[in-house]
This record gives sequence, structure tokens and C-alpha cells, in this order.
Amino acid sequence: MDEREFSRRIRLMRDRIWRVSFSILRSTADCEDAMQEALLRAWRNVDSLRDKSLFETWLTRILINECKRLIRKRSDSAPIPESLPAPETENPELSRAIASLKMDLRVPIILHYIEGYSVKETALIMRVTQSSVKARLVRARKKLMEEIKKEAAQDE
Amino acid sequence: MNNKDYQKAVPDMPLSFARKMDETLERIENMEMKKRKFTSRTLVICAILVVTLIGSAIAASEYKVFDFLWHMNPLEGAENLIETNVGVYENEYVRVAIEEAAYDGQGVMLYIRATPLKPETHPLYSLLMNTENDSDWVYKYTEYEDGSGMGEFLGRADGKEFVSFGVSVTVKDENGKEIWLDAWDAKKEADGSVILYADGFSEEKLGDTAVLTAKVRSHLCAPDATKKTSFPEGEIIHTMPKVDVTRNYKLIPVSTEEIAHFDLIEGEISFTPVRGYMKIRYAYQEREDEPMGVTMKLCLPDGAEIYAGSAGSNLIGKENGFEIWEELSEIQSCETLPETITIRVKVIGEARYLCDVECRVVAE
Repeated sequence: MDEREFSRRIRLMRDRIWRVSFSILRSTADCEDAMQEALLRAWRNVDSLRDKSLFETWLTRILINECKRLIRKRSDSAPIPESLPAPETENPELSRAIASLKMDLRVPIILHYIEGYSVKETALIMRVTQSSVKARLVRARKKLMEEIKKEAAQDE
Repeated sequence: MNNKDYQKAVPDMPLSFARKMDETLERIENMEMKKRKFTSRTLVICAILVVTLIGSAIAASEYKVFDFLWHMNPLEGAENLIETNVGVYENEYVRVAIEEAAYDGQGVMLYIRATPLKPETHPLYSLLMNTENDSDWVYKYTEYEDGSGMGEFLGRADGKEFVSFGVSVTVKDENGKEIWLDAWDAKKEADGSVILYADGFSEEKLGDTAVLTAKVRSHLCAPDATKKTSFPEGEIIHTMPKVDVTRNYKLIPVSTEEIAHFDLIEGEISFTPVRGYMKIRYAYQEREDEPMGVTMKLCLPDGAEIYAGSAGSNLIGKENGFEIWEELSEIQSCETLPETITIRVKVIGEARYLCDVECRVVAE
């Protein structure tokens, strides 16, 4: 894959890259850093991808790993200046509830419900079994409902 | 809840994200270009012209701080802006020294060396290091069905404890104006020390005082990367010398070509020996076929592009149905500029240009 084809495919995935990184990091500046690192890493390793039809899932996996790496980096070393407020969403309650989930539950919700990946694809990206993805989706949905109800009760 | 509900939980992509993606893809394309030999006569001529304008870049220097600027060449005189032995933090396992700092009034670059004090028993680790292909460190490498793989950091290969460290830096003036160092890189030396490079710049020059504050965090870690002890945070504080080495130019648009939804209002370029800072103000109306807006490139009259590094934009107001934007980018420093230059307006996220705006250059 040459650099033009790589760029073309990345541009087709532009919105997905934003949504996945935002769902995990929730700071535009962090999303930019993770995206940049993921693209550079993917470009350096693109020759290792034998089946080019799996480019999207492969890139998504790299992006998620970069997001996790950034979270570890932030907690371990360089603190960032105060983040800008997160951009507004049309469903802020659900957005906050998703943000409250632990990473192992948040990622399948992002991939399956927001990005529309099948359970099989989600399992491939997360490196877990399909049954594990299903179980995590059930737990995540339950947690989300609890979180939303809790917030509604606080508002009343 | 259905999929649409979930999708509404994520905001629309901000412009800055799209710009950064464009910038990254261009960087990738340029990396690839570097591998190729120039066979085109035109390209060679352009390169010669650019070099003529740049003048004499500093040659192999005794200083290391500019090594991080792999895409730009500081000019002669940049070495005068470098301070050495800026400050040191030390605990029983690691010594972190800011060996060089280059400050040009608007941007700062640092060369930091972390030295292990017990290298045989307690090597150093930084998350900025590229350790995936280093046999000292363990990664759980998973190969997927598609034949690709990814590594997850698991710690030391030889069962030794190690010391993880990180440095964060801010530079602020007396009015709170700040340089945010957002570009970092690291490399390991043969003796086990780790070099960190840091770089950043602000939207405008800092005031009379510029105080650098570096915070050093370090932890003693078990071989499996779990933290055992966190050392007290170290702090290095240093006041950077006041400098005024800028040469300023105004860019006045003279093109007659009219684009209904875009108008370049004016531009400014400040060159220091280290690099240039280009600020372009323009009026723009959003269009459906340009969902991410536009970004600016600086070109010489013959079309040769002056290298631009990182950039950012601010919406500064609205006038007559147009949004007024200001874009700031770092560019290769030049000794001089020709009487006219061209601002090439690129559509973000697409391989097309909206227009070229010829500008008169006025030295201030």
C-alpha cells in the first residue's frame, strides 16, 4: 500500500477515528495526539498487514491501543494542561454515562453500538472471544441504565 | 436505547482534529517522498531556490537541541539562543538534567538527559521511548487472524526492577501567557541514559519574563511494570532570558481572483533564527463540499513550498455572514522573503486547493 492509498483509506475512516478516540479519551487535544500516533504507527507497520481488506479493523485496534497508551502516559508522567471543555453532544446524559464505564466495557459499546461493528469484528479488535464481547455488552448496557437513572434521580 | 441514541453521545468532529489528521497524513506522504530520489529537474530547481532564501543554515553543531527539528533547519545565530545546564533533579536512581534550552521569544525547545544512577540494577524507562523492538523490554505480542500484530508493554525481560520517569514542562510569562510544549520524543543512549526532546510555541511572543517550570515524576517499578514506590516530585525552575530576534513581515493580498466564500484578509510572518511563525487571517463561509474548512500553505513565486510544521486555528469573530479565522503555523525560517509570495489555500481533508492568493511582502 503506497502513501496515497493509505491516506485515502484513512480519510474514509475520518469520522470513525474521531468517534472512537473521543469515546475513550473525551478531550480533543488527547484525541489529536492519539490519532497522530496511531496513524504514524500504522504507516510504519502497514506492510505487516497481509489482508488489506482488514485495514479498518486493524487501524481501529491500533487507535484503541494508542488511546490506552495515552491514558497510561497521562497517569504516569507528563500531566497535560487543563483540557478544553469537551464538545457538546446531542445526548449528554448517555455521553457521560459511557464515559463513566470502565475501559473493558466502554470499548465494546463504542465499537458495536456507535461504530456498528459486528460482535465478531468487535471481538477481533479487542482480542477477546465473541462470547466475552456479548457478556460485556450486557454488563455495559446494565451499567449505563443504572448510571442514567442515578443522574436523573439527582436532577429531581 | 438504539444505535442512533448511542451515536448522539459523540459530538461532531472539531475542525482542529481534521486539521491535525491532514497534517499527519501530509507528514506521512513527505516521509515517503524523502525515500525517493529527486529525478525531476523542476524539483531540484525549487530546492535550490528555497535554500537561497533560507541562507546559511547552521551546520553540524555542538548543540543537540535542534536535532528534533528534523524537518526544519535553524539559521546561523540560532545557537546564540541556546542556554546550557539549565537545571538538574536527582534522586537515588535517576538524574534528570535539562542540558540545553533554546528560547526565541515565542517558542522553546529542550534537550533533556535522564541518567540512570544504578544502571546495572535499575535501568530507566520512559513511556516516550520506542521499546517495542528492544529486547530489554517484554511485550505481549499478539498476532491476529489478518497476520498483523500489536505489542502490550509488560515490563523487563531480565527480571530487573526499573525506574519509570516522566517530565512535564510549562513556560509562562508575567501575564500568564504560556508556551505549551506538546511535541515530545525520546531515544535511549548506549549507556542506558534517555534523551528527551520537547518543543512548543505560543500564538504570540511572550512578555518580559519567561519562567520555565519542569516537573519530574519518577517511580520504582517491579519487573512486571507494577509501581512499587513513587519518588517525591522534583521541580526545576529557570527564568529564560528576554530575547527579541524577530524579523517581521506583513502579507498584503494583491490577487484579483474572487472566491465567493473565502477572502484572505492579511498575514504576518515573524522569523527568528530558529523558525518562522506565520499568522493568516481570513474570512470564510462554510460549504457542504468543504466540511472541514481550509488551511494555508506558504509558496514562493515559482511554486516551491516553504515547509510548515504544526498549525492551529482560532475562530476570532463573525462579519457579514463570514466567520473570521486566524491560522498560526510554524514554518522554516528564511533570511529574507521575495517581494511577493503565494498563500495556497488547501481544502482540509481533500487533495485539492481552493485558490492561490498572491501577497505583497512588506518588511516591518
